[in-house]
Amino acid sequence: MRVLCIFAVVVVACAQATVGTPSRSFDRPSDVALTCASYDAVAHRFSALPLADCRPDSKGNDRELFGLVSNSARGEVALVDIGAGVLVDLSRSRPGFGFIPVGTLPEHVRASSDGCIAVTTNTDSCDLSLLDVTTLYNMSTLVGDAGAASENVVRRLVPTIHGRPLDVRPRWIEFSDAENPSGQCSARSYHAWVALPGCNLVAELDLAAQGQSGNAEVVRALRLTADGAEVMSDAEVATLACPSECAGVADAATPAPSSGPLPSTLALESGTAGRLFIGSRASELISIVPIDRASGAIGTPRTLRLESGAEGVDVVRLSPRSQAGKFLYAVAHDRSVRVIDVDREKECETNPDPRALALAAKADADPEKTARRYGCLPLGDGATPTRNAFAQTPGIVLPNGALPRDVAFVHVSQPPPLDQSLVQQAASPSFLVGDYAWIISSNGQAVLVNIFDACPEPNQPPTSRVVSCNLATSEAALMKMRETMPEKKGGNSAFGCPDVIALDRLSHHIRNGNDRFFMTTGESDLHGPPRLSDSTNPTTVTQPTVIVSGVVSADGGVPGHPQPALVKQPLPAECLASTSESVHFVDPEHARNETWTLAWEGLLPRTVRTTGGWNNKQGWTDLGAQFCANDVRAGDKLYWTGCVSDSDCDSGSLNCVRDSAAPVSVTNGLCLRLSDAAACSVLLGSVRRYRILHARQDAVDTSGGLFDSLTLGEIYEPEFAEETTTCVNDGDCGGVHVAATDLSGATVRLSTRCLEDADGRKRCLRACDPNAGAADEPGRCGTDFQCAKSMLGDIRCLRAPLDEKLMSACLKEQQHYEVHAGDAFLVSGSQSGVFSYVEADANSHDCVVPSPRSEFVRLRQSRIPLSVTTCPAPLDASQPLMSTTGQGVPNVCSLSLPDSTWIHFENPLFNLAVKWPKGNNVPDEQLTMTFTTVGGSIPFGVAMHTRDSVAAAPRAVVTAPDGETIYVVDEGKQTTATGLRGQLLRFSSAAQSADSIFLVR
Amino acid sequence: MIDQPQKLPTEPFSMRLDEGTLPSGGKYARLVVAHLAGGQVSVIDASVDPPVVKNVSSPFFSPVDSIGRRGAFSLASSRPTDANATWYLTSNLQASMATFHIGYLGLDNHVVIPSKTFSVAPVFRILGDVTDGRASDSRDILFDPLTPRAFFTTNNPPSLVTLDTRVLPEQGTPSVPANLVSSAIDICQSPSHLELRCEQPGVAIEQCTARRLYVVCFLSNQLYTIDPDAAVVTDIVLLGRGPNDVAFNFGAGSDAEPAHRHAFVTEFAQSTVAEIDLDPKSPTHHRVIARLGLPPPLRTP
Repeated sequence: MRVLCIFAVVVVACAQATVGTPSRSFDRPSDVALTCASYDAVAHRFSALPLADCRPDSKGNDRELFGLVSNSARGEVALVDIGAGVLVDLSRSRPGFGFIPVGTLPEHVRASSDGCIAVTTNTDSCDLSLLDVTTLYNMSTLVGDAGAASENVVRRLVPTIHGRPLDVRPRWIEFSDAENPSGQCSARSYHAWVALPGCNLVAELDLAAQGQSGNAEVVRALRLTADGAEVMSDAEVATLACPSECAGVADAATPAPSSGPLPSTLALESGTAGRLFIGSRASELISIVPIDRASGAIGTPRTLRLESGAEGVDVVRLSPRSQAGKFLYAVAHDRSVRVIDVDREKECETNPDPRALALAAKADADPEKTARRYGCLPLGDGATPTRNAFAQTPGIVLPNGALPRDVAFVHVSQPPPLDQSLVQQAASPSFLVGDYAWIISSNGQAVLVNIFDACPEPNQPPTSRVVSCNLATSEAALMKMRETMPEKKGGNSAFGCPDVIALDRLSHHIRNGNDRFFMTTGESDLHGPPRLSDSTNPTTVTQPTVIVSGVVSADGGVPGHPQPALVKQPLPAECLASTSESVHFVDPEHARNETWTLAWEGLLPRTVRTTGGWNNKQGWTDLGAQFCANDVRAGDKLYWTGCVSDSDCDSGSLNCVRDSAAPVSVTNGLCLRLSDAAACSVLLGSVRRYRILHARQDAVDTSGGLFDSLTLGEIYEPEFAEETTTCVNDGDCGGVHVAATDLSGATVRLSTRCLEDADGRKRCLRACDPNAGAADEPGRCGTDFQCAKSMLGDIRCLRAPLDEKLMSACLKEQQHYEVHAGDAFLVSGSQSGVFSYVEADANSHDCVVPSPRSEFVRLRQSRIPLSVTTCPAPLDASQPLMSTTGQGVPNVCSLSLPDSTWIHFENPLFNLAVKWPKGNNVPDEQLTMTFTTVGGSIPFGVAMHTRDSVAAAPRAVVTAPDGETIYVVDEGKQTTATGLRGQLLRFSSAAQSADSIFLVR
Repeated sequence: MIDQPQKLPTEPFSMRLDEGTLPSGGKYARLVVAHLAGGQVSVIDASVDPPVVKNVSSPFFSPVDSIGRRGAFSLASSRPTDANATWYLTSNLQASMATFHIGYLGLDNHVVIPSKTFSVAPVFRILGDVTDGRASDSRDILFDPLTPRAFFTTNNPPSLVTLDTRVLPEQGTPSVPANLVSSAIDICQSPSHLELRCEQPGVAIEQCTARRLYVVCFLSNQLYTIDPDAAVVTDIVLLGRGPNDVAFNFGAGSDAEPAHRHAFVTEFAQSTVAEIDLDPKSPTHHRVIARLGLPPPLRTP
């Protein structure tokens, strides 16, 4: 009882004064090397073993897996008991975990193939530390001060040439030794290749030095130049001098630091005839050096140039061989992971255009038959498809702009453990059988990449526990799934008609995290293949009640005029759930759940601004508007929205002035001095819209100043090209009229004349006489047009006049405005936004679509005008949704039918066709058509988190001997003094999750 | 508004003097001030005496946080001395960065004109569509005088981030800087100020092939040195408590090469200034060799 009381007192005391004890021991861990050991329970002693001896199928149950983790901030190496998930206390008589000091800023750690030694590269002390791993294991069993033992564990080795220190920072290191046949950790010598970027050198070092310190002599060296690797002769090596990076002993003979390729990452191919792959931070060359591991002979180095844009490589990792081949993954500086087929020594295209016929075609049910063919689509090969319009690089790009940090390859041969009584799992995104890569990224995610997916969807549940996936049943399973459609079974359906395409078999693709072959519960189910959420009523057409800036539409709600609609295209006969499609998805991997809007003269994103100004030379100016970047181009329209209240006017001397006689649609005013109201009344009473004749970005004025500007023109009536025609004289305009209402409210047709338009061409436009009076036909204009003097000097019907004196007088400060697409529907997705690509011309700075257009540019045009060129064959009314890739035509074209025009449109995601009734000239203002897409794909990414934290800055990853578990070094810190300063995570490929119990930090 | 002295908003926090020659040949000098809580940028015409507040921008970084702050932390010109340059503004409360120009003609004269605001969040951890606070605490920013890129520090997670500001052909946003994060290096906790220097004595930063970024970390009491070209930490210098700002006895416009290169770091929490040896030939290279001032005594008599 007394003990309990004392305990209670202690608890209360603790509750009153909580001490924030740091719950970590790591400090910026930078790398991990896995090692294997056996424990002799009789002798109480560990023995080092090759890592392969810790495979699950290896003999012996006394094997234990360990990890050596370099801690860069403190210059130490920690020993982790992987099986127990704990840090090993290497000095039990001292507080803390007694990590092993190695040198300053140890960046990489590697263990030899026999598991006997490990080495760190210490980038700030310009040396290496050799660790006696066997002694390290047994330090933890020593009783008392382990200091003496620790002195025998580490040997500091300085890279030298004939005893002369190189004094350069070592970076990546790989042991070059073959297997240790004796299995004994005797005093054998070890060699390692190390990258020395400061000297543009990759050197093989002899790590045989004895004692606590010594030299690691350069045995051989490769010099990296702009053209690749060169083998240095012994004489060249003997006289080699490097820039001094650590000791500061620079003298006249010491070369100054140079830029050069900066070799920084290595991958060594195992086997007798191996290759050393060298990646460089400042070069797009991958150097390939043949090395005969038996004789040690070095062959002639070769180079592979990555496609331009890689901007250097941080990490290279070599995959094991699979049915798809053997590959080198290179983490490039352009935020992509480039893939190289090391058999062909060619870079692979990982982002092919799925519309290319071979990839859209049905795939063989057995993925093994095509594994090698789809293992790599070599760049430069005539058979390789063009690039996907979503991609700017041949490499793997992670979602959300995350930076790839490292890559680990896994082979998953068994499904997750299942109870014997349960039916085996069917193929699905989370069911892995085959070969994959995990790319760890800066956002704490692990992204899964297919290399050889041995059990692709769809598939029947395998019947045997040994054979985890019946490889030959994909096609049969697909047909079986279709046969379970509601029409036949009253059960689930396969809306969207999923099909197995070659794209599904392609290697180096981020795995689809959404089950495209999912048995959807209904058409609007968010899973399954990409499709419209309602094929019966695919679109909703609305006329917004608000036109712009609070101006209420006269005919708000659903329009009464003929409406646009989406054209339907028949589906193949086997697609039982749906007979036709209104949107044809060309890239199922990039389709998302989202709502798409086709808005007539829709608002261009990011063009609602408050800093418009007027300059008689440049027109409408706004220095930071970035018109080209925001897709503004000639033909678009500027809406000068003006002010709503006085608070919109920055200056205290200006008011938001309105004209009570303005049309009902003009509700906003302009910031003016009250005394200027009369002079500006014509603008106050106008629907202030102008046609953009030129949009410029980063143009330079005569004084050298930059400006973004819009050259404006007046908008005459009739406004749209579809409502008028070009002409030579008034006689050509007999068929062109303008609709207006007379004083009784009746609609009247007003005649037009052949007048010069704002762009200099002559068109049939409405001239008027301001003195004729509103009741008389000559003085009348259509709704929201006024009879005023134009910039061309005559009197005509226009939206708002553009008079330099008027503009100068009435723009007293920066103005509110926005830009709308001109004379076209604007296509935008709620997730994808508006695909756009307009560049500023190098000379004129005009915003133009570059020509010739690449597919990337061609498909990034998001406007659907009503007047476009005729579609080329074979696109016709029977298949209006087929792609026009490679035919050199714009992404919009038309098909003329007896009662309507079909306007075919393509973007990187889908093709559609808008049916527009003939005789219905233009849509109502701001008419919108919307449709919702569901299904498609999401990238298979998993957040790496334990039960209380998520990886903040993953740095390195290695694969465990079981081939499927990966260990991730997270060097990231938390923001509090007591927070984590790095951790080691265990991640299961089969379960696709981090082990929440494994807390090593 | 224009040509009228104004009252400055609260919490002027970070400031840059921007001076140079206008394209027309005239000189200009202006102080550009970021206001921490309100998120405004003020422009003060420093070419006249006394200097005049010429413009206060509308607040950047919307929406405000729960107590109405926006966190305009630091700012930098992409091309110092160029009146046409784009300015970048960081926020320690939002996972985005704002850009703007400062006009010098007509209605735009001395006016802050907002340009694009872009997110820096996706590079770091995201839970769903929410950034979970990651990257929403950007601190100091500076531009590389050699290549079109910027470096900035973030506190959550503690990182030095490289921002690629090249105009790339056929990228998502054409004709404007890509503003893509190209690297993120884990650094010490509470990084505050950031400076760039050349390690080669007597070599101008523009010709330098061995440059170093110096990042001071308030919470972890460290100075990190980073090779910006290799994107790696090259050394860690231990300091006293609460280091905040760093200054050097070389570089940054000074052609004079001192006999011994030193850095000086304010140690806020112990009322001292540390002197750090930057001479690579010295046995005390990257160590504190002197401390100016004395830490406060345990008890005041």
